[in-house]
Amino acid sequence: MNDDELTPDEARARDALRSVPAPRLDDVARRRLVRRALDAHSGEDPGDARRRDAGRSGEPRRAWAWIGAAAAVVVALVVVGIALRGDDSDTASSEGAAQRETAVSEPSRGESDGAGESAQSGFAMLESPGEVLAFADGLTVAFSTDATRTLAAAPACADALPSGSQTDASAPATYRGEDVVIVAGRDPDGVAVVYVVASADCRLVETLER
Amino acid sequence: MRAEDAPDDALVEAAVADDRRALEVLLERHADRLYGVCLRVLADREDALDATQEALIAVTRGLARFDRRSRFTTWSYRVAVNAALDVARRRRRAPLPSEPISDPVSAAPPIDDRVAAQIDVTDALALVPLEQRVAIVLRDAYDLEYAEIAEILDVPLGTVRSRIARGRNALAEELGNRSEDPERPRSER
Repeated sequence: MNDDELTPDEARARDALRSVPAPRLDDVARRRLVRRALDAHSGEDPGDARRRDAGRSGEPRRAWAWIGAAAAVVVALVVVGIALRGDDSDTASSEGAAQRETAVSEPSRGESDGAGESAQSGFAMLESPGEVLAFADGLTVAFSTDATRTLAAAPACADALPSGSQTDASAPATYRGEDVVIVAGRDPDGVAVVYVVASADCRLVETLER
Repeated sequence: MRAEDAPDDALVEAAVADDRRALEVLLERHADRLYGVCLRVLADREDALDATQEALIAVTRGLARFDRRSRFTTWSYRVAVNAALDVARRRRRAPLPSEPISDPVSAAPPIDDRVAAQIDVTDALALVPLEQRVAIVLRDAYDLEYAEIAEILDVPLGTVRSRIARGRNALAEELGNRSEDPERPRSER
């Protein structure tokens, strides 16, 4: 059989598949993949290349990231303090949780706004009842969550992340109805990312990149 | 002639002679195509990136053994398909139709019918059996000849014909299932 002898169903399937544009890599991803392949060609372990890249550009950035994270926490505490001072006394006793007046949002990606970027640089997780915000060097991602929980210094399921990833903050949350751990940090190339890891089986559900 | 303007054959020859720039141009030129194959076969962006990375590394390491009896594109398709199949076997899980290649639809603003139809095709393709999916992707998405597909998959021509016919019918059936209930939210299909 050749393509001139297709049944109507086969022709329909062929035409449908042809109608979908070919997927393309973005420039950053393409350069990263090619560079790693070239490193592998020159005898260097791609893992070494990732670590070298992270070391070359990551150290100063990492220092700034910690400064940014600290600044973000200070800003958050000041905001919370002002809010609590203006609130009723029983609100102030709510276990010290950061209580922000934001609606529960559906999982969303890349919600970076210009006004928030400078204050949200660095890596941090801010939680309030009903929401977790992950900040990764200007990348802001909001997740719905079921309850206020304490921040975790080290992420669970760390082995699920790409080798060489840097993790800076993590928090449990729900994502598309699934219990997950959100991890803000950098991928092996030093790019700010937010990883979403399934709590049940440590599966990497999503990697959100700026 | 600049490396960017050189044909694949010249780049391959230069790369084998240890011209790193030629190899870089060759990889950059074909990376999108290899990624496209991997993404359509695996229906998962992260898996596709992993497979593409493995394919590009395999190309760089195997270029010296590439005998040039076939075109570079044919050989690299074969490398990419094998990388994608390896990743699929390692994952040992079926692609999730609720996790389409595109961004989550339910949280996105309304989309036009053309884009919606493309998402339907992508979701439906993910449900076609893997071997058939590979065959119809190579034939219908990349317009390869049956003989070239047989070479890439290292199977007889008759097997390619059979897989393509069955794959198209499976895809048509999945698309039919979707069109029967157009009111159902796309994310629940």
